[in-house]
Amino acid sequence: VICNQAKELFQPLADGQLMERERKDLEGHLATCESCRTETARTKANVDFLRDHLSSLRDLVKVDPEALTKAARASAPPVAAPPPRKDDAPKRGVALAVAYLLLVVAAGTAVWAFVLRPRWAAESRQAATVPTPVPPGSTAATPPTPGPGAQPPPPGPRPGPKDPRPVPTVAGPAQMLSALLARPGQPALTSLWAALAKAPDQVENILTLTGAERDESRRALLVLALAGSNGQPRVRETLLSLLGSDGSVKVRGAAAAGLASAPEGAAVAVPGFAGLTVRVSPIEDVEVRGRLLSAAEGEREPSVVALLVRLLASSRRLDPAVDARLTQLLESEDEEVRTAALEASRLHPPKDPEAILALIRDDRIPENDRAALIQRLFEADEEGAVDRVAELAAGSTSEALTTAALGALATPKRAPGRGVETAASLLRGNATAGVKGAALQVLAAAGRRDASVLPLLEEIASGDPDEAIRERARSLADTLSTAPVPEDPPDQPGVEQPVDRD
Amino acid sequence: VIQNVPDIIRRHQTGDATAGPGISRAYLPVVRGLALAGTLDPARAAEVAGRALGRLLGRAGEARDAKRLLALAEEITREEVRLDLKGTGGRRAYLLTLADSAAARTAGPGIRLPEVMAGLPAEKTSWMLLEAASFLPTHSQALFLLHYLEGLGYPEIADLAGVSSREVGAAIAAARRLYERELDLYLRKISKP
Repeated sequence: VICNQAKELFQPLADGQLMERERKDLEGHLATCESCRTETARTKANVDFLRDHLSSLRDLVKVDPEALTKAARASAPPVAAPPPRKDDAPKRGVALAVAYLLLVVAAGTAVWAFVLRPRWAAESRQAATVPTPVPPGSTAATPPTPGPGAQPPPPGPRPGPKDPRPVPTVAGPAQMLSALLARPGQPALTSLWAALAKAPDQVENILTLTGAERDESRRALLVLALAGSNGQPRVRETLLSLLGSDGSVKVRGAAAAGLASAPEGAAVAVPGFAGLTVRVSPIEDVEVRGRLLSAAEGEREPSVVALLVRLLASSRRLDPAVDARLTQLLESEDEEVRTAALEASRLHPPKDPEAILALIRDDRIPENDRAALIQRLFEADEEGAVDRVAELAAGSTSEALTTAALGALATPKRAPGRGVETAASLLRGNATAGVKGAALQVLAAAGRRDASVLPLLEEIASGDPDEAIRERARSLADTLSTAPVPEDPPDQPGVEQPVDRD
Repeated sequence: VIQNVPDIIRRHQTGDATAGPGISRAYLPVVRGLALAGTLDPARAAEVAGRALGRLLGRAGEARDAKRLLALAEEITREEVRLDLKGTGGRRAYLLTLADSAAARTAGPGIRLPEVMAGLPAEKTSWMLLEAASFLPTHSQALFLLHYLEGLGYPEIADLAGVSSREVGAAIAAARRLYERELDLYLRKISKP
């Protein structure tokens, strides 16, 4: 076995899938080859690590393949037969055509003899059918029956009791609600909303059912059913009262999502319902927003709080009370709530410098947002911001944060003093090459406005352990040494002077 | 335990209703692994896997052999994951939080995962490792997850994929190398200013 052959066996060896003979051959090679031994050990360590950690996640997903098979068999179309062979096609086509013709004739005769003829005769004797009254509250369980004025169906081919063909039905809100309760899911919900939009009088029935339902899961589904009609005052009031109720998480979550539900908008997950989402649009009604905020303050379930935060933050402007609450929630112990508050703060950045600073320090903030937030910090408090950003640059353990802060200080429009001090301390310390590069940018921006810059660049150019940094410092020092000194140079090195070119 | 996948496919194609459970059982690990890696959420993964298996059973007749059925399972699951992420607004990111960890500093050629992930909580590490599987193309990801997440041996994967055990070993080795290289590149990228 040579190294190239051995390398192909590292993976199966680490996976315990090697044949005995191959294993012995490989072990013989490993006994004499140091580099292959090292690589085998690395592969084994990585493979064991991957297997140990990934396999621990396997049992988290609960799927019952048997139940799925049954459900799929019930709903899926029959399996297509394998395609016919080419040489058999003409004969088979003729045979099928004849069989089809015979079948059509036989079926037509049977339908006429056993279904149409007796029924036609019966209907001609009967003037009208008497409909069965629908008991109140039974909407979900029974299909809609024709009203007293309904006309009997016209005579024509209809499936009889022995007809194997499926009976075509036009589904109304009642059937759709039954379907939703039996099999909760996005399609059933969307269809139900569409049906209720055409039959708004049925909403009253669902309101009644919601009040009477004791099973919390079914009640939550009824609440979701109402979401499509949240423009109706009674529905909105019901949803608001359920939001602050002591019902289950599902009910409160469904009520929150239901209040903001709209045909278009961002999709949000309904708490308690895995995989079920509703589209929501901003709530601009001040009263409703106030109720949502109260609910968010009293709510204990993080997923519902997170949803309420998202709903509140989706409006065009943020009420001061919501702004204050969001700042508090940035410190929440629950990650889901913190994430929602963070997203909300990205949409509506806070005005308070300390809150902005807290956001900047959050490691989940993307780089672009962080730079914008640092800019916002300067806008909120220009004088104090220089010190705050310098502290950020000097005190952060995150390289990304340090470089972002240095980037904000590296501008000729800001007084150089604190920025140069911070850059000097980072350049003299053990910062990474990236941070030192950003610190050199601060010095470049300060230029000849700060007398300490040139000596510092000379120091770095001769003493930094990184050759690339030394070269950059040398080049910068050369450029600055030939640059003109500002008209109003600082009196003493290191003392901050205001920049005034006029 | 996966049994005789080609036979299950043949029976399914001839309309044998008893073949359905066999296909569900055989392809559940593929669908479940890809769903979990795609959503990074067990509850959503269960939903996605359920929908994907249902669709797979409906379309299994299109695949003439195990290789094509595996490709179909991968395609359907990828599509269901995409729809789920679109509907739920994305997934939680675990790897992003590595920016401040020791991982970013210790990454390098010939990455050693136990060292890179040292000091991180076990559960978080597992999710990070799973999230990194999305660096792989779908088929490599499926084989990688079948082995490391689902715990299937080479012969079982070979049966599902319609290839030899040796080819499975080579494919998993390639997937692992790519996984390590991409993770390394990612860590270097996030550790740069």
